[in-house]
Amino acid sequence: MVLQPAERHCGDWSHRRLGPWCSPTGSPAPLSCETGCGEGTWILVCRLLVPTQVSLLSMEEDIDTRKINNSFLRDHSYATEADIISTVEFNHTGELLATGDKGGRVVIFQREQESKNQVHRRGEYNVYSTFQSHEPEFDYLKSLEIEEKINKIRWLPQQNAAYFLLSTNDKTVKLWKVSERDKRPEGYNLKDEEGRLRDPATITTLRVPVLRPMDLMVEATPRRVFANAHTYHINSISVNSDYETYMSADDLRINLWNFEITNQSFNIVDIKPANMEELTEVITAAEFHPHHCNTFVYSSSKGTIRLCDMRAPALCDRHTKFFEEPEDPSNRSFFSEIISSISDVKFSHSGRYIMTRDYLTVKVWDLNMENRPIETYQVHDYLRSKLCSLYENDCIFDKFECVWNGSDSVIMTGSYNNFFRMFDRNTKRDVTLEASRENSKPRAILKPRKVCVGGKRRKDEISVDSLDFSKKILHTAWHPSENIIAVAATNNLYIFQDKVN
Amino acid sequence: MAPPSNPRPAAGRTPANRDSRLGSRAELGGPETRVRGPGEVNEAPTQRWRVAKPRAFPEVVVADLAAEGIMVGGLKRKHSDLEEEEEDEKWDWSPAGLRSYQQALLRISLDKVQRSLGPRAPSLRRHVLIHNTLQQLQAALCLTPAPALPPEPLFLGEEDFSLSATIGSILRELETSMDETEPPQNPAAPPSPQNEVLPQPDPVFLEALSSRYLGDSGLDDFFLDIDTSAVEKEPAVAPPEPPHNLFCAPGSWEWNELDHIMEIILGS
Repeated sequence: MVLQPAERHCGDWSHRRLGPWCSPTGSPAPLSCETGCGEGTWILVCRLLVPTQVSLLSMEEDIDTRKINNSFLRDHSYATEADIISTVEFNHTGELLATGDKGGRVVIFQREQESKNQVHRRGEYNVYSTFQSHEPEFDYLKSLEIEEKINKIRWLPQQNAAYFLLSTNDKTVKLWKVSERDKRPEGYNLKDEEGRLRDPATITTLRVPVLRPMDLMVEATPRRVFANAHTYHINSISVNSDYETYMSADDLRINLWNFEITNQSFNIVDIKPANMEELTEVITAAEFHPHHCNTFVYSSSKGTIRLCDMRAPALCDRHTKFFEEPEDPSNRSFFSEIISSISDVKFSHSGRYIMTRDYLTVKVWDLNMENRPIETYQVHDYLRSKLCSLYENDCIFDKFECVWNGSDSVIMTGSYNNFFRMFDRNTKRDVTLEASRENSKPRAILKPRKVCVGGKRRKDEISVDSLDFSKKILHTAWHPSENIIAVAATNNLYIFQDKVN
Repeated sequence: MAPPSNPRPAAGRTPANRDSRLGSRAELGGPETRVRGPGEVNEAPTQRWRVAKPRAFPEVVVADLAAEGIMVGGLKRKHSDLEEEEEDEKWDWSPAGLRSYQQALLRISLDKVQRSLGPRAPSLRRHVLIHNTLQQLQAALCLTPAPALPPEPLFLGEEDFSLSATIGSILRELETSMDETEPPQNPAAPPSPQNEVLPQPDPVFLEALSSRYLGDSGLDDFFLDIDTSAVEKEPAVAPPEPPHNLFCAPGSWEWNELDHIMEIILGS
């Protein structure tokens, strides 16, 4: 497996020493009450660019098929679009950060180890492994292309030296094992040094191959392929807290898998109507409860969330709880349903709350209260008057994700113009930051941004009409215990950390 | 609540979204080289709107317009040519204006449905959302009081039902193509209300639809056709009862006609 060097912009590193921001036990420090999240204390750690020309080595050495697939389904200039990051996920310790892109690749970054000499370099992430997870496919039966874009990556908790993750495209989920190899066998009898087969007639002696140290190599192997279980497009995968099962959700169905069994899965939710013409609602996201292995939630395109208990009847069509906020009649328009469609649902780390993202807001729900959310945050309400235009250019269908920080005190989500927003649930303060090349100097402090909605525009503000709707932050991730965030902006991955003096 | 009398002129440069699409064309290469995603169109929105009369959508959500109390929210947009200091068109909130807006939304929605049929399996979520919006629009169009202008009621009624039939059949085609396990939907008896209510083929509409996609007439001409009062129609008749089932059955003439249209659309 070949390591691809990350292209990074490492300018002058300031000699500011990072203060301890995390208590010794590793539990996350909430954003300090002095600074909060509204004071611009986030700094850029590094901006990572995934190289365009990545060697397409995969573990299956079926080169001819791959070439055929690639030339048939992609033209040359497609490579640039293939770099668009489509998912970002930290592993459970935060040591690794995985990204998936439209080209079906997975790139894993590893956090730089702390060393005495370069203490300020801790917090940087370098490329650890790159592999082609999914290839474009063609379904001949239906004459449809199956996109290789990675929709979601989910890590399994680490149980031995190797790392395991699930990656999925629209149709197929794969379990990948990422492991390090630092020894290799030498001294084969039947193969020579270059791996060519030797003529058996020339072999006169036998020897036992020995393991010799080699340069560290990180290899990724597909251990399981879970295919042919989804008619519609997979939008979510979620690993269960029992670490033995996981679920995959498409537009109409949710399936439960056992990691060891690839040729069958249990269908646990099915909302497909008998008559497809009556279809008015689809599943948009699903997730297991972080602690209760029998509980999961799924969200819909109508702005509802259903909590299901698998101990109940096998087919969880009947929900245990149903979360829906009544519509505000004064805000009703032709686009009400579209903007109420939930694009992401996430349990808090505590398991007490769920957070949902719809087009204009982020909402926090208490599991014990179904009739309305306990908190609603406006992400970019200035777009409410522009819905018609956003409908016309399809932006209204963008699916933004949302994330909790490690202590569930801050939530984050993306917006347009490469803006992303953080909301501190305790102080009720919020901040808008920008992931852009302009302020890409490492250790640069991010300046809070503001969108001017009317009246006189101040110097630093940007007017709504100047927003670039092609620059959208759909995918973000928050380190599980520290204040480090990863923000995907098209084909750039920005890593920011909270600077605490 | 009265609509705003003089919406402020748009500030700043042309909205970035005008030329921006998913996977911005400006950043990633020209339209001729890039494979389209399911939601993408092959031309900038401005191209379409250059043909049509410049339309200004109101900025503010206005209350109590349609009988249903459905609000109309939209963007006050200026045509790029009109960007410099031109007097904004006041949006006309008369029933005719509202109807025109709804028609525009209907066109946009139908356009989306048809353009998203590409080599890639389209997004079911997007289709369902557009479909639901179309149904709302249709309901609103049926329920809004007929405007003073003569030609609308009967003509639009037919158009609406043919449109919904088109929408329905497109969705159904889409779903049977995506769904391998289900037997193709083939209702044995087409719902009779549908056939009774739907008048005989409306060649004007179908021709307009085909010609539009063949690029013969611009969108503008189509709207002109509707708006012109020179065309004398029979005295306004109440729009026919919405059919119980808005979708046409395979094998019927509508199916064949729509099949033909689909071929034209996909072929072009």
